[in-house]
Amino acid sequence: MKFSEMTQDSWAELQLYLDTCLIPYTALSGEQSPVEVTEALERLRDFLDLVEIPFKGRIVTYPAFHYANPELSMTLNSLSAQLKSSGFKYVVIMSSDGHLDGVEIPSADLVLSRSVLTHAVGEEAIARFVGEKIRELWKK
Amino acid sequence: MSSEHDDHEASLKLPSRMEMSRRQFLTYTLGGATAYMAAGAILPMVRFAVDPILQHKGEGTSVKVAEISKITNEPQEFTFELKQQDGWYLSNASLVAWIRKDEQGKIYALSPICKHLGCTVGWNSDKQYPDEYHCPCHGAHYDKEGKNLAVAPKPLDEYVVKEEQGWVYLGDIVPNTRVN
Repeated sequence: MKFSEMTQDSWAELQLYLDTCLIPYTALSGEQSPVEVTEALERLRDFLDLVEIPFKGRIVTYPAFHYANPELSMTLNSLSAQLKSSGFKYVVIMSSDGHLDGVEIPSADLVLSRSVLTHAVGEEAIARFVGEKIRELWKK
Repeated sequence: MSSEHDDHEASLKLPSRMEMSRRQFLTYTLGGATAYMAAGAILPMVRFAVDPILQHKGEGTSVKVAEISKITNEPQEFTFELKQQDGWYLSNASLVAWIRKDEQGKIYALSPICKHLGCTVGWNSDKQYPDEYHCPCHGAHYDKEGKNLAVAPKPLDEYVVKEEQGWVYLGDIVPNTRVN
């Protein structure tokens, strides 16, 4: 579910079940044209669909980080820690174009970069791989 | 004397007629013009608001999904595209159905959307629950007819199924009719 779908009452009722926070990262540099920005956001949306649709009832998608900067890993790490202290049990970060290293973001439970996965498991296997990673995360 | 005077004035009066006063004339004219302008502004908004209700349902509510010969007793997953009209917005939705043939040979199709919080269930996806639909989010599971066995408050929804010329067509999603 998106953060914007939640009302105060529904959040009080559903918080128990929605224990996983999803942070999208677009990885824009500021040099892209409006059309390229749109395409980047569409790629990210398609990548997020792999998690948001099948696991709708357990994930809350928070507002995205859009622009790349050198301290991003540190920022995402602090944010992940903060989200966990606010009640989320798991934090997942997903990016279609950005290259994120999970080692640099130890507070996040799962870091998924589509561009990295394309090389690692191949385009066709990404959906299944991402689904399995999320299920493994919850079984830990 | 006075009586003569009154008679004289009465003889000068014009025959009475039901005439509209100037005030009434202005009230009717301005009121009519205001109502006309208000109707001009409101009617298009009312029409806009109820337009989807007035539209006839177009064709394409049933979609060709699978060959009947390929349907077995074991549920199989089929993905298909459905044109959907959401108010004024026409879009293609990618949908999934689990289709099987029951013991009497009747084909039915279940929606994989868990009735707990909307995650997607899978057939035989958890070794602890063999031959059942299982939800990865909060452990809801269902039997092959879609009956809710735990966590979920209702059985899995069904698609309206139509069989035609060797093909299975799927339509709207409706509440499960196979289980109580």
